[in-house]
Amino acid sequence: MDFLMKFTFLQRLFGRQPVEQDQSRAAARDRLQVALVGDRSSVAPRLMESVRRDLIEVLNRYMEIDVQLMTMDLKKEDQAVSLAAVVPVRRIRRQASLPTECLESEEMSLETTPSEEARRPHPRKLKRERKRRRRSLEV
Amino acid sequence: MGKVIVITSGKGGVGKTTCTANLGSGLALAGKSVILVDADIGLRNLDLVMGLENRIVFDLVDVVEGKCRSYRQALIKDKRFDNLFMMPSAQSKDKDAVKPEQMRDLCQEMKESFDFVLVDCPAGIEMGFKNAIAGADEAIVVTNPEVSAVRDADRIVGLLEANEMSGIKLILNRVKADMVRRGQMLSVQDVQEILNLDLLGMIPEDERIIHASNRGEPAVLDRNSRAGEAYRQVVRCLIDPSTPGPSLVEDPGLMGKLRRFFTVGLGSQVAQ
Repeated sequence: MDFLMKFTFLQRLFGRQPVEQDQSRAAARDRLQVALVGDRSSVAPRLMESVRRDLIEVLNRYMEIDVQLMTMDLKKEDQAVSLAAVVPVRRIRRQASLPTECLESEEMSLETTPSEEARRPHPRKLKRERKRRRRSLEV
Repeated sequence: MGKVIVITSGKGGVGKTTCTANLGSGLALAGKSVILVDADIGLRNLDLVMGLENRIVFDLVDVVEGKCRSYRQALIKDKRFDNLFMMPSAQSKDKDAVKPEQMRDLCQEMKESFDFVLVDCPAGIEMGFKNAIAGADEAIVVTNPEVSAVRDADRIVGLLEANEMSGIKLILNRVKADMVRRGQMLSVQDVQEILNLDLLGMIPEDERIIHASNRGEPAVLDRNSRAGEAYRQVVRCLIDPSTPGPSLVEDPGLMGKLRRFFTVGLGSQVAQ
């Protein structure tokens, strides 16, 4: 018992170097992050529905799209998750018919504010924000 | 008016019951009046960890079914503290024997006369979980630095948020500092970043936890236990949230042990 204690102490004293292939911490972290993207999106089906709705709204400003044939998925690859959307485009809008807020003019963007809809943060984010506010009140 | 805190995790075996027993005893040691509620109906264990298994007469199900005059009749007074009580769960019933509204009413009644009500939540996300969180004002999510435990903790946080729970805090249990140093274990920062929660405490892996539960004496009362010291830190944070955040109680090593041996009389003050 005493001998073992001395042994680990000596190991620590001489700073045993970590073996490269022994480091599984990064693997755990990366795998968890990928798994949680899938978990969170599958647990909250309304989240994906909400993303889809917002995406359609934004795209609609610039082009006519076929909403019926549009597909949207989270794809798991080895190391990461990506959002893949296939959106059939019927026609691109002419410059003149673009909504004013889409034109990249400094003056224009000062005058026009994005619609209330577009600025509203996601419910989960809202909840976090509310929580944070509550917490700061407590302190 | 006191506070009801549910201690939950999703995954089983990460240390919810140990955590409940230690925080409860630590709060009682600091002079607070505390009830520990074992909400794990059908699989009760808090009584054993607290060393109170021989004193049970009535249980949680008896209380909600109205078999005793008041919930106080089912409370078991702790051996060590006059201000610490436990509400045992039923062993023979199943988890549907209690409804969330009944738990909410019971917790409400309890917090009117006690400083802290700690609810030990069962593993899983079914009825037992819903019951346990029903009356809670705050939640402590316990997890281990392992992928399965962290993933389940994330699911639990999602469910707690969906139930409008505020003040969700994290306790990372069974941290092996030397494995983290060698890059073989998720660090506290990793877990905190993944779960995006406020850290309430990190408890080092400690064999003395096993000794403590063998004897039915929570490690928070053991002055030589590193986990016990970490639990005392958490207790200080629970009582006064402005206390500086947790720091890992490191394995002192041989020299540290020697030093502690010679200074034991000075360094043995526990949480006030």
